[in-house]
Amino acid sequence: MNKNRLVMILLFSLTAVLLTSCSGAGVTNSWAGVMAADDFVYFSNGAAVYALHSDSGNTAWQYPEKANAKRLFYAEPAVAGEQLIVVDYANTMASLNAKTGAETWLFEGANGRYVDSPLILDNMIIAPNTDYSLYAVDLSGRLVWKFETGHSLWAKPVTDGESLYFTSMDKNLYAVDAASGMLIWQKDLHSSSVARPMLDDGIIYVGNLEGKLFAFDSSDGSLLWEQQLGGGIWSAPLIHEDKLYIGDQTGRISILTSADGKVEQYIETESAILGTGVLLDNGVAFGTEEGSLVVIGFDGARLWTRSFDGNLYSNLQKQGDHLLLSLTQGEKPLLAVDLNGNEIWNFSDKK
Amino acid sequence: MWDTIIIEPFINLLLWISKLVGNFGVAIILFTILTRIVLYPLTAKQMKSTAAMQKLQSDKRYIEIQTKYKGDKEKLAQEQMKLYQEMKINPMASCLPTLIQFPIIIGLYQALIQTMATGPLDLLKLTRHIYPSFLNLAEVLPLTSKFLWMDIGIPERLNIPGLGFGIPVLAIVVVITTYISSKIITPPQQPGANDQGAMMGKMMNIYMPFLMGWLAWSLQSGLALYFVTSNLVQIAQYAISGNVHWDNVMFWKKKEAPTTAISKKTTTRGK
Repeated sequence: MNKNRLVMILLFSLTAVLLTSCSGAGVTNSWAGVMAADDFVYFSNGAAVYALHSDSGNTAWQYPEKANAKRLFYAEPAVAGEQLIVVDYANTMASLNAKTGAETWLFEGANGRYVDSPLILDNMIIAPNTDYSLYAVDLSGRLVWKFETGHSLWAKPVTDGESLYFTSMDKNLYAVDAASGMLIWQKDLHSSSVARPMLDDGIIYVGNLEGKLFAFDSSDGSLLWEQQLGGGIWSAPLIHEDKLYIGDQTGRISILTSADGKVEQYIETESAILGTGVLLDNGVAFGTEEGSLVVIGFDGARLWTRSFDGNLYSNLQKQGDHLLLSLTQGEKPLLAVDLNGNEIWNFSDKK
Repeated sequence: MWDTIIIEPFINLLLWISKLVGNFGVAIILFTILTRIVLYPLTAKQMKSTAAMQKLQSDKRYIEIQTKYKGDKEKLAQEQMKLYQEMKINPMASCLPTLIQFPIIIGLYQALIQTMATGPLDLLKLTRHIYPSFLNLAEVLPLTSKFLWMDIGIPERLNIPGLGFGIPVLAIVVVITTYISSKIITPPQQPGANDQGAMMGKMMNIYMPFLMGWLAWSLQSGLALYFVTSNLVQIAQYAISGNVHWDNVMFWKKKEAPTTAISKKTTTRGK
């Protein structure tokens, strides 16, 4: 082959690869998801889902065995009996044997990405997708119903066992019947929402990207109160007794009265809080974008802060006496720490 | 710095247009046309310089020195330089506007990707790029990603019932329009002209459409839409300037072999 032609082809190929990799298609534009169940920790970290032994962090299995650039996993897996349901950034929902990682079925009926985790309700898997739809699939991978909204669905629904409550980027909160997928009510959130709702004692608490937190009566969707917080809300609040604890994009942790939404106190962490925190015995813990684990008492007093390498975007998880921290762009993508923030084990897929 | 000067103004402008027209696909088309119009003085300068270079390449003296110093590259370069000075041509003048446009086009490309925000990290960045005093987040999000049959945020395929695969219509259109836009500005090669340069140009005309087609096939359809619009506007701009060689893309027309540089100084020009 002519030398010039070869150089030209190589240059064009390089340009194509560079431009494709700079585009955000097929590269990391989300953060990993971690979930603990029984003796395992399941970790969706881009190219693969890992099952790790919860006492050591050693890998039990990984899925798929060979990474495929088109299948990226970021949503927390969900356990349904002996099945582990994993969803990806292509359009695939897969059922795996939770103990071995063997694939049992695939559901490819959606057209978009699965950004957040599916919800398991009895014998159904309820999965939000960016193709504007919520999918209900049975445990053998057959579509039961599909509910279409006006835009992408980025957040896992909540349920009271009969109804499903979920947000859409179309600025609405929806309530649908879990058995039939029929709409019960929908409420305007005035701005797009990517946050999971939280349901407690018949009240749904949900935030939007403009930083407004709402409380709705789950029976009829009537608005109980709304409160403007510091910045965009990306996750569900935590509730302890009559107080709500929620972080926002400005890095503020707000403590509100659940009955009327009155802000009682706020704590500035100065780094965005996007993931849901966890309730501890003596307070609540939140992860920040700068990689800090901030623990405050139920009274709002700052108990301690530990810094880690990477961004703590993901939802925090508690398993027994461990906290599981998924660190985006960190040397150690997954850390198990004790309740004082000391490392117990770490997992790196680069090992 | 790059984000502040290039990306953020582009993103805000794109979102503002999207807010006005209510559709992100239409916003991409209008935004591309607008930026192409703004960059037109540079494009015009580039076209003028390219035309001067083409005129030079069909000049008798130029052809003579190409033949005479074929084996002596140093001497050839010296003689060419003399001729440039004599004819008051700056060989870099056609490259400079392209170099200036390049960061703008790259910025445009990056702004488009970031505005499409197909994942949480992209969305987080996007919310930080919006000027709060200019745009209200609630008004600009969510972007209407559906345009015609496509979803702007994912690679485009036209699914026809009964056909087991999707047809990448936009990628095909990108290949065709890129080929046309580069081919119509390529003058027919003169006998004795710089063979290596002509060869490079020919190879560019072949590989570039496929590179662009590959990008359009594999990336979000919003980018493919940008490529198509950009190509069409470029073709229109070339046509308006009159400096086009339509014969190059009219395969059905029998081409006349170029005779000599003197008898045929320029080829068909756009009317």
